[in-house]
Amino acid sequence: MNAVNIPVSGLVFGLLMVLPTLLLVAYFRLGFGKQLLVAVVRMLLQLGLVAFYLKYIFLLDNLWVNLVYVFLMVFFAAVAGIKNASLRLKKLLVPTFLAMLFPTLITLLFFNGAIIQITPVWKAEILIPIAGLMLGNTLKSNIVALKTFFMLARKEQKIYLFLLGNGASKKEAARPFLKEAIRTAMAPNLATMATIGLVSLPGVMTGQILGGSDPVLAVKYQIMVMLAIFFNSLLSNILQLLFVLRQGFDERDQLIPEIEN
Amino acid sequence: MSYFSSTGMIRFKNVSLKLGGKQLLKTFNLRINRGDKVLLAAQSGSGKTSLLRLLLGFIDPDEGRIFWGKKEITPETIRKIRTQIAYLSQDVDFPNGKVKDVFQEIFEFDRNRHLNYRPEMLVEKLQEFDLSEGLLEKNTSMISGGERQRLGWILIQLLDRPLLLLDEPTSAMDEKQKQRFIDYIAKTKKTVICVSHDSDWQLPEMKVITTLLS
Repeated sequence: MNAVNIPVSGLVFGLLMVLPTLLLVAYFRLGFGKQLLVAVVRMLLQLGLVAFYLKYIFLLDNLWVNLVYVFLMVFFAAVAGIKNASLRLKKLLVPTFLAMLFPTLITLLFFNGAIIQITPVWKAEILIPIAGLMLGNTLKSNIVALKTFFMLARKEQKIYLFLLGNGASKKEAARPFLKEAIRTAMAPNLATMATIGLVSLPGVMTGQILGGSDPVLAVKYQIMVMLAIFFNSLLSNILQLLFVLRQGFDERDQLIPEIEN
Repeated sequence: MSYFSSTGMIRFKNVSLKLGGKQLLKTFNLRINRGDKVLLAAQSGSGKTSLLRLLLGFIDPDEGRIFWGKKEITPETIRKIRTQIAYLSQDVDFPNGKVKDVFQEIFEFDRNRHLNYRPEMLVEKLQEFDLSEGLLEKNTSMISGGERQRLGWILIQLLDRPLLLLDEPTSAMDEKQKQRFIDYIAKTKKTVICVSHDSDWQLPEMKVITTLLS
């Protein structure tokens, strides 16, 4: 790795870019100057902290520390997912957590063990960034899947009841909604995979090339990451909705209205 | 079939139901025997559809009890009871998809699989009900209300359940079509509960109910 360093003077110049940005916001009265400042400060603090502790986590590279780190990432992703989908946190937190944890652990193990073939398999340098990538994408698609599912279950309730009244189980009657929710949630992933490299260079590649990697290696990583993300999101979507089907309906197979905020 | 060993198939005992601040059923009592034909002809907004939904276990009465044979309709018994019912909702709410695929999917439900549905059965019924075979390839959202209702009738005939719950089942049909289904109900041995304002449904064999507020 021979990434081009950013000197301190460069960092200062970078931060100075905030000034013309703020001027533009003020001049056009866009009204988010204060929010922008808060966002910049938060970013500095949060990423500063990440730089600090990631360095030590990479040095330490302990199985349990890494596992706890991944668990925490999944936990925060689950909380964010439920909140963004406007659902009741209390009832869906555990299922959402599990629906994200299981696929992520499986995919990570496979990614590190079978694809990168690194020892130890929990090596933090790979495990944590890859977990972040997968969770970020899974989070986005799970939110879409949840929102779509509940929107359809409410809007198309009559279809659900018609099927329930003609022999369907809860799962069978909700299948049209499950299918539609998963298709909607996975559509962006599919589109991204099909157009990747045409529009812009994807994130993993950009990062690696900036970090001094050979473009061929960067492409290898990108392809593997895309496949892992797709699998992870799909499995997580399916688990998530199956759990919702258990938690979101009452003993008469009716949607519990209180599940939505 | 042990469900029918007792004489009364369905009993409403002092059932009250309030929905959206409106009293729909009040200490309502009704006994329906096997093979009975019941017509709910109370005025609109009076809770006729809700009565069907109570039987399907979609909603719970505020007071009173509903029995299916000797068993009360509860969350524990409702799934088994639903397997005895075919339900034609007011708008015949088929899911989105090609007619032939939607039928295929409904008959692939675990509780419908024993019926050994084959697509030819649907084709035969389409002919019987003056529907074109081209309907098979059409999307359920693209067909007319009348065609939809006839498809609903085909479904409940193919499902062959002992109890039919029909909610305004001929509202989008012309006289000739309508009469065919009324005749079918008059002849069938099945138990039928039908919601309709249409006076043509008031057959001699029908028990007509005009109020749910006993």
